[in-house]
Amino acid sequence: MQRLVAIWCPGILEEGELGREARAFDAVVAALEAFATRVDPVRLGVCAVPTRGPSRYFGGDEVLADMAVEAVAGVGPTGLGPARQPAGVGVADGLFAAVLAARAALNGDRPVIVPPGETPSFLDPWPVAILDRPELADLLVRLGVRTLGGFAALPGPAVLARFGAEGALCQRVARGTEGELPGFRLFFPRAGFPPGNSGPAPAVVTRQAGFWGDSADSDARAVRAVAGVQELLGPEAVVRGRLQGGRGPAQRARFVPWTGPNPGHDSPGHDTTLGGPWPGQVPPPAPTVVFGRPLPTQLTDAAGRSVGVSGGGILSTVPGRLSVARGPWALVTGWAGPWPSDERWWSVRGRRRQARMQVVTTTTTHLLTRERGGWWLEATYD
Amino acid sequence: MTIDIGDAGGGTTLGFALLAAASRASWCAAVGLADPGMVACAELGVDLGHLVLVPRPGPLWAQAAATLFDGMDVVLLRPPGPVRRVLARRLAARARERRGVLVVLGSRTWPEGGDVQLTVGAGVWQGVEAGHGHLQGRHLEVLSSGRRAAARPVRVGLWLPGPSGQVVADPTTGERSKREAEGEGAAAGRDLVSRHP
Repeated sequence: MQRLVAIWCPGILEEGELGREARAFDAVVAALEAFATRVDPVRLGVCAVPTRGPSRYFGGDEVLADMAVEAVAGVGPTGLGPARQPAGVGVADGLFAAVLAARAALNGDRPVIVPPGETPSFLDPWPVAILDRPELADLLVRLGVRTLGGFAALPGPAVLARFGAEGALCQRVARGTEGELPGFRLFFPRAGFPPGNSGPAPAVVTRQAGFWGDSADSDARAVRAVAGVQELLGPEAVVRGRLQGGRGPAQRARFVPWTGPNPGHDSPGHDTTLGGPWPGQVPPPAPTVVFGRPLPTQLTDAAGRSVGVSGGGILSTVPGRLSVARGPWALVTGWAGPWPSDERWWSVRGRRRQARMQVVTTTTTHLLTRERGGWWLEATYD
Repeated sequence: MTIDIGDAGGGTTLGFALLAAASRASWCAAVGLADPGMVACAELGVDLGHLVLVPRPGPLWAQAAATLFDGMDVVLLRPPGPVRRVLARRLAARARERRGVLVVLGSRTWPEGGDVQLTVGAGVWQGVEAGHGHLQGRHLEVLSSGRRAAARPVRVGLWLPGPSGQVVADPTTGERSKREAEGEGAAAGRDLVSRHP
């Protein structure tokens, strides 16, 4: 596939009544032609230069991209339009990826260069809406496939059967095996970017192994069932849990939106922080209920005096009664800890000094956290 | 089929344990468990990659649970409050029709007993004394009763959870051998779920 430098001039994508945009674009193309023999004016505000000859001649993609930045800057503000935005320059395999790289470059001040062969992984996190096929994107999202990477991983024959030839072509573009979307030159997609950001979403890279066909019938059924619930309650209502490293049970897991079946993703050790060491971690078994927002809790001795924890992790008095969120008091029959944990000791602002304690009462068993002079119910062993 | 789990302490642990087998073979879901402990869930043997969570379904919780049976073998449900009899019957019928297992947490909210009722006796935590040690496991008895094939009540002693988080049958208590106890209590779901391929 052809490797290209793409130049994206956001200020002149739309033609105004006075024709200034077209003239500015002509100037951009002319500036590039000063060193590149072939400049492809893809559409107003977007052009591309094949890197093959020029990169070899000038000494690499980086040099060529920098030359393009300089040439465009020499034209003056490419944003002759209202915003006077600078141009973005990107290098990748295929026009589709190169233009996305140029758009991503607007976030920084350097060209974005996708190394040869790495275009598929670059495309991976972009939302499927970037393909500018609303019906296709809509259906994919309902099936739990939100990113180009997820779309790319679906079995090709199934995509062809379900979405037809154009869908299959879009999938090849998503896979990075086809360089250009049909209709791209006239209607470059403008929708589908994550809000407030024109770069790729830092989304979880999803892998849709075994979707449709082969042994994955139950996966397909699960996808349908989840899509039904998402339709009912909204896409964010369905989540899955992922383990990660941390001290308290709340930090050791997080909930991420359900984006499709991706077996193997949650295998232990997937997260490099899982293995620890995490001093202050409470030993297993872990609590089955972990409150997203800890509840204020009172822990006193039999005489009603509040139980404190010294800097050295010593309790000020013997725990006797416990009340969660001003609820009824329960008698404490046993406790363990406190386990001190001084999190983020390197950070002045993020530093948290905590201690954890397991407290058994006559009715249930809790994990409490001591922080900022108070007790909090962090989790329950139900 | 429908299993309901009593309200005494340990219900969530037992519910997660019932998901474990299904999560390894296919898919399962938890609806209405607002703050599930994922580390515990994984320790109990649940493959988190095959567990779909709908923590806060709101008023449409029953529709959400019914829809999930299209693709889930086991749905663990905590209803937000007392459930009308008609609705409970409809959900149970849906589970039966889809050859799935509905596990209801909190039998007080469920107007009629499930096909199997699991009542958790008062548990005793081991490993904790006044300021020493740490929680190591909870010993309790689970009474299983129900209709038809499950009509004969069975009492099983379990470590729920055991020291490393899993469920361990306690051979020294209960009326059955360890092997049977495991089949009955620790993973009643395993048998139930493996009924259908």
